[in-house]
Amino acid sequence: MEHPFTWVSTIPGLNALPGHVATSLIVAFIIVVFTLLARRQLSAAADPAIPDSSLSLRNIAELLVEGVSSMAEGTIGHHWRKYINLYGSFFVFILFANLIGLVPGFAPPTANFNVTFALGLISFIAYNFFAFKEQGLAYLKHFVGPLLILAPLMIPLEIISNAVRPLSLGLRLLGNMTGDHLTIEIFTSLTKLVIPVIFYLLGAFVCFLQAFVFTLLSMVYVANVIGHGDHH
Amino acid sequence: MKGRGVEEDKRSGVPKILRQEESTKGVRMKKFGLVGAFMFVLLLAATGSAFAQDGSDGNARGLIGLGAGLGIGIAAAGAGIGQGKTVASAMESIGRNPNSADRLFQPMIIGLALIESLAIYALLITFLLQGKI
Repeated sequence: MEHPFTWVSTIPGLNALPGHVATSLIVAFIIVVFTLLARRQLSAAADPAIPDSSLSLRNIAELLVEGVSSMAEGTIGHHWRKYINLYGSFFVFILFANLIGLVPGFAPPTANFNVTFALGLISFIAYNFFAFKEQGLAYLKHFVGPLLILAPLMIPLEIISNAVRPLSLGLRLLGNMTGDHLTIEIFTSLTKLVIPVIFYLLGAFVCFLQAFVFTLLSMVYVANVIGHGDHH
Repeated sequence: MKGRGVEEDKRSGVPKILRQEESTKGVRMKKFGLVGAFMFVLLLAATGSAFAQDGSDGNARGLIGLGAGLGIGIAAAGAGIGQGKTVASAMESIGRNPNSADRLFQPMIIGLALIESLAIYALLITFLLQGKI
């Protein structure tokens, strides 16, 4: 269903673009501005190791970075620093893109199949690329399975289950965001005042959870294929 | 109770005769439900063929609407059961060993998200169907 009114339609340059592209550009701009401000606060801080005493952009940025880094370290293991750029970007982008849908007058870009499928596809290409980089052609031995006799059965199974992954990542994010946005819309039009707050809370929780789950699953996929990469 | 000479089921301590009675009642309820559902579907098909010329468009739209509603309803029930079992076992683990709560959180969230994604797929089909009514 067509979104009733968006702030994007009022900006002269951006309303020529499709809605989700324009909102993604706004989200990217917000992330860049947020990061630059947080970095300026970090350089201006007296001691960079001591957090600020109150809420500040620097604190939020540190929270995000630490959260994603601990997730990566728990999932991927020793070499998490090599992959943190991509998965940190996933987490921050999806989080901000989801959250901007809660602001009245914006539609979340992740409620569009193009955006979520693109993210899923990037995750899929990324883990295959990392697998080939770490293991070379030995990665293809994964598809054969444990016993060589089972190969005719295992190869289609593994190929299908791998090919479904970007689709499932994209559909999960899309379904959650669309359903949530629709729920908030319907409840705000039904009961105008106090009740939608509950759904905004639920929406905020789902935004965090979906960003977290997308990033976590992507990291798990990478961790599976580079598992033989670190020699103890 | 315990000292009455009735054989106790090892799993839950409920006297075995009681469990047997409940299980036959459960089986009977399930058969009744199945027969009822089958008759309902037959009724739908009968109405479909009776009004073949006049209200076929309305009937098709009604069935699409029914499919949309039932689809997400059954999917939500299945997802609810699955997630309920996940969270129940996680709660039990935490209750038994409170230090394990941090280690349990991430795998539980992954499990919940994967189970929920099945319900989300059904929700998307419901959206597609609802647009076609």
